[in-house]
Amino acid sequence: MLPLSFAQERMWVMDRMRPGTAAYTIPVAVRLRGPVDVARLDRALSLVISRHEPLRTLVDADADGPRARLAAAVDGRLSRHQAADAASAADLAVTLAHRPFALDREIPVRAHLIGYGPDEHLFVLLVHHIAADGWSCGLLLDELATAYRDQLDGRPSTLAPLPCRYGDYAAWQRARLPEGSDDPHLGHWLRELAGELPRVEFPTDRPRPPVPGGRGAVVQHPVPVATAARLRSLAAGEGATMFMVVLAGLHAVLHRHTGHTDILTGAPSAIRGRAELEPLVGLFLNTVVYRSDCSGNPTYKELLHALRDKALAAQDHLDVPFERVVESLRLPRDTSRNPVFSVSLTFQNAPAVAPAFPGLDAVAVDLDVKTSRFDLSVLAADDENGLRLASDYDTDLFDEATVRRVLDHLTRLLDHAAEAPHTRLSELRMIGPAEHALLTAGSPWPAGDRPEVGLADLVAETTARQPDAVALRWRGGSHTYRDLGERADTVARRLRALGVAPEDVVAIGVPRGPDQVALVLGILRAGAAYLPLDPAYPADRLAFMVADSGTRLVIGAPAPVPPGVRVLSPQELLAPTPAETGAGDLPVVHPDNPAYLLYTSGSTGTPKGVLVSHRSATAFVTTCARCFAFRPDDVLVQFSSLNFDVSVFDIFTTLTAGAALCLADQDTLLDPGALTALMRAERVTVADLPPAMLSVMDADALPSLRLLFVGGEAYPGSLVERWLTGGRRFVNGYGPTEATCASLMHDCTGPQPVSPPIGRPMPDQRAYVLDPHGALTPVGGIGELYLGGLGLARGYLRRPGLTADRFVPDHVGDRPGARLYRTGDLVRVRADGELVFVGRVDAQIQLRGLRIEPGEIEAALRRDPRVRAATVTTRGEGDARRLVGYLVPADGVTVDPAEVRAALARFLPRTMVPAQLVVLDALPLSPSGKVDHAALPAPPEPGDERGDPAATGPAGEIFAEVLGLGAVAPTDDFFALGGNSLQATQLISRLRSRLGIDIPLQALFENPTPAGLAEIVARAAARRQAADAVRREEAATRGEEGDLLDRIADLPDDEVDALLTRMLEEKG
Amino acid sequence: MDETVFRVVRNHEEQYSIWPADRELPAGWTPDGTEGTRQECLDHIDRVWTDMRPLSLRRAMEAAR
Repeated sequence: MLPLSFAQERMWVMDRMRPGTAAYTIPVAVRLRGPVDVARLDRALSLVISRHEPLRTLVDADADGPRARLAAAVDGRLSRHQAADAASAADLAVTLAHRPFALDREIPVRAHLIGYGPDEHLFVLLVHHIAADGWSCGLLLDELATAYRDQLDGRPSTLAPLPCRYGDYAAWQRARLPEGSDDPHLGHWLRELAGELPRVEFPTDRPRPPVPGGRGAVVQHPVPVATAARLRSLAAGEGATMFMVVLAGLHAVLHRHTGHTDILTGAPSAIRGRAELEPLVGLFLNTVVYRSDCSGNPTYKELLHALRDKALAAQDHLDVPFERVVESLRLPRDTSRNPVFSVSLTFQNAPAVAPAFPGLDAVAVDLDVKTSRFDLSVLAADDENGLRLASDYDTDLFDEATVRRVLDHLTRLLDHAAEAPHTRLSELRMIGPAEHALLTAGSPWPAGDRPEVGLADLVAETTARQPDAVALRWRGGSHTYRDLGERADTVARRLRALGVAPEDVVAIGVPRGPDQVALVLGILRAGAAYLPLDPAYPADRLAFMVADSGTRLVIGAPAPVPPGVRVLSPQELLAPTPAETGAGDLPVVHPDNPAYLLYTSGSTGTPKGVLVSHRSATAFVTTCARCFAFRPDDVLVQFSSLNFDVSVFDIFTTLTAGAALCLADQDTLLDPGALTALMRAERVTVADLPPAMLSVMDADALPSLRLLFVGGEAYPGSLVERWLTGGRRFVNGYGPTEATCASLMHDCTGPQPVSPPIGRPMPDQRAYVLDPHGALTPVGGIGELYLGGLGLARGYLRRPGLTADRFVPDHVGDRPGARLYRTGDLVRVRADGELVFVGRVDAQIQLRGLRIEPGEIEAALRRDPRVRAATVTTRGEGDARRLVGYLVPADGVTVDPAEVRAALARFLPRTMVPAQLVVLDALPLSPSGKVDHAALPAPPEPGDERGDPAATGPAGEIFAEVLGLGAVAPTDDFFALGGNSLQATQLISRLRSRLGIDIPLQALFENPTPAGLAEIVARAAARRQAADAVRREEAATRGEEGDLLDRIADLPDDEVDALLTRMLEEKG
Repeated sequence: MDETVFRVVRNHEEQYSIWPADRELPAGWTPDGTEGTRQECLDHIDRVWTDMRPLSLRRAMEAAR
């Protein structure tokens, strides 16, 4: 029997995992000028193929795994084609390269001679990676040229006999490493890869498909000669190779892009350590994983030394196949990714040299076959042509510009590192000037006047301008600006009489309505800041806010107040006293005096009061009035309660612009039908409504609504599209209370395939995305959002330490002494500078090495039409820790969680599909209207869901048998029980031989449990029965059996089911 | 655990913050002399930053009195 090497075995498994892929085909192309003797070239080809056994090895699978045998006849392998010109010859070559190899039926090499003109040919050799590596390809071409010359000369072959066979090497490898042996070399790798292995990958431009598509492209990136020279002398000085120098740079770039400190990359490494292996064609490659620790922000030189030591140690342990290492690590399998690493570095030391075909002018041609094996591979070559970088990458994941940027960052960073190797990673220059300008750019919208007055003064200016215009609409009636101003002044004078002054806080806890607006304005006119106390809040929380704020006055009585605090009734403040009119002795506020105090929930659970100045508030509302082109005939419905700063937008933008503020009580606002009726009746033109409310309202019922300003949480693009009709403007806003209502915005236009970005800074605001060391996060990277500019709050009331911790020195902008607010929000920078919300720094889930954004899974769940609302969290500890999704079905829909989960698995990688989905009537909400995770019910423990082991039937038995176990539970994970991919292929073979059912290997990786397998088997069996029935029918009616089967073979499973069902129905 | 050493710093408005001791101080900020862990620095700020109004506001309000 012919043994397979470990590398061959691994390549075979990968080929089975992605049937039909051309990603493992190595294309070699040579342009031949001159007269080609086709018959002799063909004979030369046969000779070389028969010499090298891997080139004529066929691999079958039986119940015990792959079986290799040698094809006997390999003559007449050169196929001839004709093309119009060089370009179409290359196109044809690429098409040919995409034809997959059937490794069990055809030898892993194909040769094509494409003629395109007199004495012009493109010779294309396609070799499956199972039979060759890069070195082999050069060898193969050289031997071909030699054999061709021998043929022409009519002499016996001058090729030296091979010193050994590839099979000898494979047998030696297997003898050295018997199954289950305790190998000290393996021990090295298990120590090297101990602990949690983070998934280190460049953030992708598009969602990762469940299985790599294998589509790829290559970009080239020359390195300046001076940089290359500096790097060579750095390498020489540090006892390192150029490979190590580039590797350290790549690790630094990955660290800076991802924020990970534990960096993992892979590199192919030739294992032709013995002279007798050198003349062999075959796969002599192993994969080496390089792991570095970038925590503590080391210098480049420290990182280089660490990787140099790792690379040297790796050389001593190269004979352990990577696949053996992966299996021993017992990693959970993820069909969307390569095991352990996603980014690789390949270093080529020898340039491609064209073979010498006698009588022919031969030139090697690069064929861009557009396939990829990894997320992103950096290819480096350093030879007489200089240092060159290139990258081949998965085009399903990345845009060309992104990959170019990565290579540009790598070059720039290496250049700085060579100049100053003692620089810490965070301080190495990596970002170019244009990108830096984009990352630090201010607002794209023009700034306007910055009023140096108080918030109430803006309203007073409107009142002076248009006293008789309508300021408030309430229950069908209206109040003019004059009415409102007079009532506010009355309140203000009474508060002044009670000693109220700037820097004081007056609490207000009264229901919605014109009184509330007049009281708020009155407090501001008196120079004080208002503290809203929503009567709907728990009394304890209100009492805390009153006590914490130190206020002496509370208007209304929403909660018991501490001793020494005076409660004022709204009526006593508002009662008209005709004698007192005019502004009188009302104070002039300083722009830095606070306008309001709002309490927000902290991660610690203790609410904290955010103190916002008039300067911030007036800048915001005048910006909004200008950017949103508010007019006096606009009508805005105030949805937000005073407790949220959206109400600042609602009330003060409207009253600054001289428009009308439409008020309503809580019951009307929370009833979509009633709210719609109110907005129609009042001809509302502008609104800031929560996404949840918009999702249940009819966009077409509100033709006069011209502008929606929506924020507070992420929402799907479909919501935007539904409302982006009839010339309506839809603006996504983002901003924490600490930066005054909104700091970023995005004008939504055109199709909205995904959630809208949170946008770019509004005028007078700044936004920077920084890594934990304060370095700007590059385009594409994910970092924490910091906000600056006029919107910054003064701080947290009477919490100096907390204020100092969250409001930090601005080291990016150009204003000395400025501060930035650390938002705790993770965002990603798009190539156009738009920021995309990713999640909370503290909500990000790290599960089995993968960073998971629950928001991404929630968005996928919400795309399901059966789902109205969803949230995702983790439950359980240790190995039992898992993702759990909670969903609320759409109205009138009964949801089967298993179906939703199956649908989700079509969009998301397996690692992101929640292990459990729990159906709820409603998601528990906190007072701020966000999902209250603490109040979500506990899901059933996974053990409770284990069914009857017998229910998994023969599939379960084979499952246990392959693993050598007596019995398995229906939910046991094949790979967690120690199963490896070879055993997985055995399982598939046994299913085929015993049950007659053929399922793809990938199906097992996606459903690695007996229960999952049983389900697949049942479905496949049902399908086969149906197919058999059809075949019998077809045979009976002399149908075109072959046609149908061909059609079925090309269809996805669900379509086959549908087709067969339809056909069976038609047949009655 | 975070072992970064921070410095307590202050700007022209006498607003306090903290900054890693091994990083270059941004323009417009001066150290007040305190160094320590994040928590030590924040505790110090809790003690010394008693009037959180920006300096220019304090001055303006005193002048208006």
